[in-house]
Amino acid sequence: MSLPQIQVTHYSHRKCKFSESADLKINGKTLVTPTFAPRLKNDGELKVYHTIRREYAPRQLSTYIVRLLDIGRTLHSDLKRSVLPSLISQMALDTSPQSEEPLLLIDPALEYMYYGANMERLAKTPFVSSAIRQYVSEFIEKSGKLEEGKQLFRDATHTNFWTCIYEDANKRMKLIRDTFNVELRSRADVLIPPVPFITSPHLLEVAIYMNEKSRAFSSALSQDKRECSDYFSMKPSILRNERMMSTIKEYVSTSESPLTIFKFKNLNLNDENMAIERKEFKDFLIELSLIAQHVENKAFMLFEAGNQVFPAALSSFAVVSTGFNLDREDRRKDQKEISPFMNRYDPWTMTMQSKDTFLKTVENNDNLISCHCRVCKENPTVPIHDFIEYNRLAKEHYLLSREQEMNEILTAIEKQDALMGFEKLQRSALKNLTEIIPR
Amino acid sequence: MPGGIFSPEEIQALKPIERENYIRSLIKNILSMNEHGVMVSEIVDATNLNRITVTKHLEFLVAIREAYKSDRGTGSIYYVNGRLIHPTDRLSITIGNKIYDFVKLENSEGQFAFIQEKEQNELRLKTIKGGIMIRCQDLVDFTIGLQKFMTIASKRAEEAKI
Repeated sequence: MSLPQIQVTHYSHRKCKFSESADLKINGKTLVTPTFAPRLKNDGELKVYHTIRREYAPRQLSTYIVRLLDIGRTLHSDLKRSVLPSLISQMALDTSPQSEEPLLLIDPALEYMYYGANMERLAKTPFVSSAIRQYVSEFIEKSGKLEEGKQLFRDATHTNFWTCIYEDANKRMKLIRDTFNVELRSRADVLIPPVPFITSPHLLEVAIYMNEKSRAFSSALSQDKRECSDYFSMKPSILRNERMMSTIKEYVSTSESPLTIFKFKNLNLNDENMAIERKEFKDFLIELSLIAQHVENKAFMLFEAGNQVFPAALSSFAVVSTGFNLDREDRRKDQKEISPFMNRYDPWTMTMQSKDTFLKTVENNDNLISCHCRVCKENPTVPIHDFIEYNRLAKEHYLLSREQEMNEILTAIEKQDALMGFEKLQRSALKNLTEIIPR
Repeated sequence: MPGGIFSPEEIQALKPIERENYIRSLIKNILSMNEHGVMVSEIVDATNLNRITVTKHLEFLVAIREAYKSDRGTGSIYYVNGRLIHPTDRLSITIGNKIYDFVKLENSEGQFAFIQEKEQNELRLKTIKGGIMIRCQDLVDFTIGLQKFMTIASKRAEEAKI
């Protein structure tokens, strides 16, 4: 009798070949797809996001993502670290109407149980289930003592952990309960299950199992349950594995969940060496597009889309997300980087530009920023001596540029001219990505 | 049957309140997937749940008008209480922490207005507290009755003041 929490409304005039713009209603909030959802990692980025929403009311920027390990410094940054553990059980939420608020999704981001980056933060954050914290702490301790065979050790311990979760009902229920509890208390609009980072067929099996069990568990939270998505977080190399990809596609087409989230960690299909992955990704997009158009109430999201934001939004994905990828924390692998100035998104090449390259471009344009976004129009000169202001504007410019791209896709679909996206990519520095657009 | 049904061990691993919610939701799902009705024994066989538990939850669903039953010989068949006629045939009003959902439903006995009372907790999750079904053709009479009752009740209140 109750209507599903997620409803997809299709319109015949908003379809063009493999591209579509639909209305996606989630938990009482309506999104016009495609939508760009920035992944925010601290309260500074959250402030920028809210400012942009307040001042420019962007229609296709009505969702944001926060990783579970970033909740403390993003959503509860005003609280002292010592009170965080007790907060998890006490966080009481207001029940004010929320239809005007943006959609919030909490990404469990458990790939950091596998990858070294952020592992230490994962071990310390009180928002992650104790089983995961314990695993990560033990892993850091043991792998630190190893001189060789670290990769083998990592694969073995990671697989063992998830096999144990797969086999032990108590541990499994606790992991799902802990994760959902934090997501709900952080006011997430859709529950995202804690699934393993997929590196092998066995872990894919565990991921599917966790998706099904989490979905069943979501109904145990209350009689009026919150919708639970399916989630697949995997290595880009999985794209080459035909058997695993067909298992995923088959599961997605029959799953009861209206929303499926994909994450291909560190995927860069613009790389010359990724020709096979590009072909597989294109087939994947076609398959998803057909499922979205033919199965009632189905929508797809792509997390950490990176360079693939635009082509993924152009075909199949209702919501695409990626981090700002602009500041030093995101680029900490680059040891030479010492500038406090962020990179800047160049909407023409659709890639990031360093400060020096950006300044050169501005210099060649009579010291004016040549960008049509509203932030740049209102602030046409570069605050060269104030890196805080420079960074704030870079982030605001990034959000509006992405929103502009989503808007261009919507307009192209309405004009029945999805080829526009193809041409836009061809003019950019991401030419190789034209190969992944289904035509 | 819905996918991802919990095994007995998994059900044991749930907290009591989670167990109640899960079983009720599972039975509701089974009812809505079987419009022609199900018997207690069919649910017991498919879910491995205890017969008493299944009956208790089915009776609760009947009590809050989420389901109805018809007696056949020695057993009963349970049905989901109608299907929504149109997604727009619904209205939701909030009074204090109570939410009243008005839905127009149809089942083998005709068309009904279904009023369901829900409560919202601090996580914005809703709990169903009760419900009433009124045949659409009787709605006007029902409203007249309600107004009469309100007049009587307010008269009494005024008399009590005096």
